[in-house]
Amino acid sequence: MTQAERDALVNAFYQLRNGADLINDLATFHSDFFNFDNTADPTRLDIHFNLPDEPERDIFFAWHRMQMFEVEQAMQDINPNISIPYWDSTVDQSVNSPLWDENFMGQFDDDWGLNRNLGGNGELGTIAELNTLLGISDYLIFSDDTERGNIHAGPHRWTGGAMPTTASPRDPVFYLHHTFIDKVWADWEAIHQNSSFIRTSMLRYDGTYVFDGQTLPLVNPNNIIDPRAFGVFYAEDGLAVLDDYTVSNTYNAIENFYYQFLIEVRDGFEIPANTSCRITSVNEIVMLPGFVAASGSDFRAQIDNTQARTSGSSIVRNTKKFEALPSMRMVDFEGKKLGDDSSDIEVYPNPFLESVNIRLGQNTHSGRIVLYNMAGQQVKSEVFRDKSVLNLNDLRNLASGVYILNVVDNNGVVLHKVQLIKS
Amino acid sequence: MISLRFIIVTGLLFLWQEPCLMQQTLVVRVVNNTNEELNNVMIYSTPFGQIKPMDSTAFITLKNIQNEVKNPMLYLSCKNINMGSYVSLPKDVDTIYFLINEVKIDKRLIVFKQIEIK
Repeated sequence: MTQAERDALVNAFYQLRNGADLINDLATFHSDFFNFDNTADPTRLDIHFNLPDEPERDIFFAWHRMQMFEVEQAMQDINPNISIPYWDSTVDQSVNSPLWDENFMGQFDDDWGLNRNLGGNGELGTIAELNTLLGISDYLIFSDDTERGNIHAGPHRWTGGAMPTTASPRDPVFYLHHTFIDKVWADWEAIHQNSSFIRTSMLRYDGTYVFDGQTLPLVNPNNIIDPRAFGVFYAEDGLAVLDDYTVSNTYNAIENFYYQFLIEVRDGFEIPANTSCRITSVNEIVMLPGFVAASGSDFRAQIDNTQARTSGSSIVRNTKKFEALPSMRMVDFEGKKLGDDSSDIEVYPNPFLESVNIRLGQNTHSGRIVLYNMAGQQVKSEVFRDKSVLNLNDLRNLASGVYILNVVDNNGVVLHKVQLIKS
Repeated sequence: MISLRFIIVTGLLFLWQEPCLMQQTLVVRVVNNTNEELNNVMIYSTPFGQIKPMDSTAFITLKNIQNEVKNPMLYLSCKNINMGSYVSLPKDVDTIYFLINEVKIDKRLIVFKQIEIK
């Protein structure tokens, strides 16, 4: 994040507490409807820790996705460039992290009397735990294990103060944490495409709740399984991919996609006539074949140079970050064909058990295949020369979960990157 | 709407996590150090019922801890307001006292101390 983005987010949190105080309302609501299993009527609809026989046991992910969207919408009314960033607590685990700087989330501890105790209780989740979750195929088991395990509950306990309580939305870092949980769900759904909901309405978002004079909409969780339903995309490793989305202006008069680093607009991203869209990067935007801005649409792609002025420096852009990015242009996270024949790659079967077959494109004949686990550790590597079909064997002993397969040319450039599942 | 959500900071830190070995039984006692009546007290999915002001529960033995800690929460109701808090997961512990020292109803906050005896 640029300092300007940090400042905008911090300011928005402060402003949300003006007037009707959305932060306090969300915290109170979250607490009051957290769980009723301890009460005389345990069958009441609630948000958390539902048991296998409770009908709302599937509601954890969807409810918090809507909660994040409610807050983000309120922030974008203040500043349309704001998105809630995510705190990846599996890698960002230090109490000295910039996350907790006094000019970022740290200031709220005193200002809002949160009484945090960073690292004082319990452990944060690990990449291995996340990997295990992403390997679960049953949605209800995935949801239950995520909620009760260290990936979700860990940061609540670890942060201390309001975070371990049912009123955890009092702490701004709650929203950064639950945006990460939302990303975990999005990543899981991209792999398994198996989310399903029994209930068709949700507490607070059931069409009856009124906040600050406005009735909040009724939300069917089955309609928000893909975060694109809210126009949300998750960026990772300095790359934001916009694809398979049609601008509709359903929630904003101008749909505004803002990111500090590289934005790639890809196949299936469409801006129809009579819709408005802005794509803004501090660094670079790449339009790839398949992107369509129709005649009659209001579309602008722009580089935000104001970031430099905001910080008082002429160099805010993270140019170093981009030195590694060109090799990711042809990244394929789904194992399906990309672009023209020269960039083709097919990897099968996926999920795999014992071996993986890789069919390379016409222009790739020599190089190296490298398989990484989600901890970034290399688990397999093979050199190939003058081949169009490769086989990676002896994979049976790998742990179940998600792996990344890279095809690297002789110059060390990553030509293809494919996400695989070991079943 | 629209958003591009992104990670805040980067930097890898891999920590070795000790295996969390849960024992088969755990004895729990809840002490109410407040001047309020606490109702619907529940810890690790085990009900402790009502606790009068400045009173405590009996020692209650929890079995099948592996299942109980899947709901690592302390819940209670005070003046008809239900609230709760995550609690630390027991590690190689025989007995836990939960000392509830204050209930801040307006903040939905339970001030408590967890004392573990090995």
